[in-house]
Amino acid sequence: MNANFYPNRFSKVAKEALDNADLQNALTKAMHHSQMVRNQAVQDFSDWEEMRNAAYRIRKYTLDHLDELLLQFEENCVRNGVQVHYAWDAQSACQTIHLILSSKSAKRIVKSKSMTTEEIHLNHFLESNGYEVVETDLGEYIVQLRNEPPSHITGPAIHLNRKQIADLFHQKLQLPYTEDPEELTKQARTILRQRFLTADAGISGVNFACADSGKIVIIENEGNVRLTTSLPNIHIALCGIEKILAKEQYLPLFLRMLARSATGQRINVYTNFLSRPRQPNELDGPKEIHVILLDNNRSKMLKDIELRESLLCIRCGACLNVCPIYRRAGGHAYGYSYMGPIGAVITPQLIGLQNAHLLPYASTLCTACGDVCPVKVPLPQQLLTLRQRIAEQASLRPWLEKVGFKIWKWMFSNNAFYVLLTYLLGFASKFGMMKLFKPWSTYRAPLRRAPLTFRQQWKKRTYHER
Amino acid sequence: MDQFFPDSVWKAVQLLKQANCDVVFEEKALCCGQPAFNSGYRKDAYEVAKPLIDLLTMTNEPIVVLSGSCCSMIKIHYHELHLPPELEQQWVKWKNRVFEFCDFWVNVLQNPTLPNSFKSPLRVLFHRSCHALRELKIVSAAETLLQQIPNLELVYTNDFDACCGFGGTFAVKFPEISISMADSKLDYAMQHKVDGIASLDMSCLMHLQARSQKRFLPLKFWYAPELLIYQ
Ligand code: SF4
Repeated sequence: MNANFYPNRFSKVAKEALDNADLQNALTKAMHHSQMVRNQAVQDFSDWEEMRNAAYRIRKYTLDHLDELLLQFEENCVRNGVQVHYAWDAQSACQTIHLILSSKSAKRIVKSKSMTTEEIHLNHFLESNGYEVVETDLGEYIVQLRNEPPSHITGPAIHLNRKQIADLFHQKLQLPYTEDPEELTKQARTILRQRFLTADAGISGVNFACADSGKIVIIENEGNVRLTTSLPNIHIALCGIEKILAKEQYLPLFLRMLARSATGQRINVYTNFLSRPRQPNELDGPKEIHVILLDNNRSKMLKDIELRESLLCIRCGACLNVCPIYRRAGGHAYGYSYMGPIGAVITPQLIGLQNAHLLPYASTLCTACGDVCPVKVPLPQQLLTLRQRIAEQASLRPWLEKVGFKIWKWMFSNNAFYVLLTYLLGFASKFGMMKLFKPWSTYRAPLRRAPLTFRQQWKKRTYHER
Repeated sequence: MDQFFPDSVWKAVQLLKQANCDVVFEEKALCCGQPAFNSGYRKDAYEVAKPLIDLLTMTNEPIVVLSGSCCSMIKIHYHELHLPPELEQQWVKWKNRVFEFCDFWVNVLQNPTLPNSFKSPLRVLFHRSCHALRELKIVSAAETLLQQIPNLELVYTNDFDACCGFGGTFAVKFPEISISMADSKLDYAMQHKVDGIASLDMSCLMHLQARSQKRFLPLKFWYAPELLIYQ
């Protein structure tokens, strides 16, 4: 596994995040805001629940017919003059991109935000192969300058405050110091515009790939995707195979739900359609469009009946925004390109249970994520399923926990043992031994068993005294 | 509840008796199995839940569970323990007879007794515990119930800080995050100058109370139905 991914360090990174007051403030504010605007926006519809059901069914149809739909999509792409490539894993996706770029001697790349490119660690690969890559989404540009991964699916720099960004621009770009968001955006825009004009190729992700028309849909708010997909001569879109939508006519439903769930907007500022390369009579647009359909364990996930529904996800980020754990641990704690509840569910599937075995436990199972998801990914159930699989693998859980649950099982499945437990707890409470259970008592007062348990009292009293 | 909060159980028994119910306490029912289930040990969970399942399969009476999360384990999650088919078939039938106390009080007994009245006003933060809120959906019933008590003023948490951070073994696996969540709730309670926190989940309260004691906060904690007879 790539050394830049580190989900098993969740506890450590989360602890650092908790001690980082700037990050806590930034995240609390941002998440509170996102939740509020999302909740307001979905009130536009009295039938939001039915919309969720419809969206669930449509996405589920995709998963159930993915083989046919992929072929249909490919066929339509080819008819439109779009070149289609399949990539089995991260490495082959990177190599394919490398091949396309090098065959045209493209060196300067502009990129628009895409978690799928994070998943295959594309920037790192391209840079180490001598390409010049610049992220053009403002948030993504910021984290690129900081040399860190994005911390949120839709808001890559959400963990930073204005002052940190001002400092960064001032130091890294030698620009005059300003904390004015307008000014900062202008500064970035000036630099990025220049990059757009000189770029040889653009790389983006995909929000929806319509099987019946071969069109690719990418939504955004800054206009950078529009420039990425129209200025350079070559465009490459990296698309997870699950992003297929059977029919273009479903788009209105999904665009409404996605915008509302992600940012509380009624509709995104830009909805970009990529249908075919520039035609002889057209003035702009890329001369070549390539779509790379990425598997990277998705077909394995698809075969897994219990967990496949995590592929329904449309990456709106709403489950992150409501997650109290995400809000405190921050996106970097999840150690991979997906974070929050959906990250905890798909990361172990994408990179292997043993490489991300803490993530499914990083949840109180409060179930807020499951309720907010626009396509009804059963996130809490999936966390439980993953926990079961992890617990079944001897090496992945601490032995103390396993032994603990065995003892617990004896104590609670047999009255005689339960009586023993009662005495032990009583003894421990009396002699202050409950505080020896450090993970609990370091931060909390030790528990105390009542002088007499309810059972003991119940037995002592007669029917009328009860 | 047996070990740490027997008084709360007695309050519930007392209430049921006032409402002319004949209360039977099943000693063989030790635990619903949720701790192991939530940690991924479904086999262990099943073995612990088995005596309870057998017991409930045999009764014909309504079953009242104190605490939302245990109740939702029994009512909503038991099929995930991979029960043998015949047990599962029966579970589908009897699970409708399982009620959290508040649910039973409001929806089955139809609010039988006159609500308690406090001599001096009491401000209570109502903690909408996750399982009661999202899985059992009985929080609004409980809130309506408590609102009827004269001199009791309910303060609500904002949904943004809904979860208290207990989460079973989560509380000891990620204690720092867990505590940070508890503190958000406790700070909110202190800012709103409440006398204490009530909830439909004893486990949330256990965690909040232990944290509150560690911080020496002057807060009381009630299993929500207790407020019906608390003086
Ligand atoms: S799982 Fe659902 S809520 Fe979370 S990002 Fe995906 S679509 Fe959005």
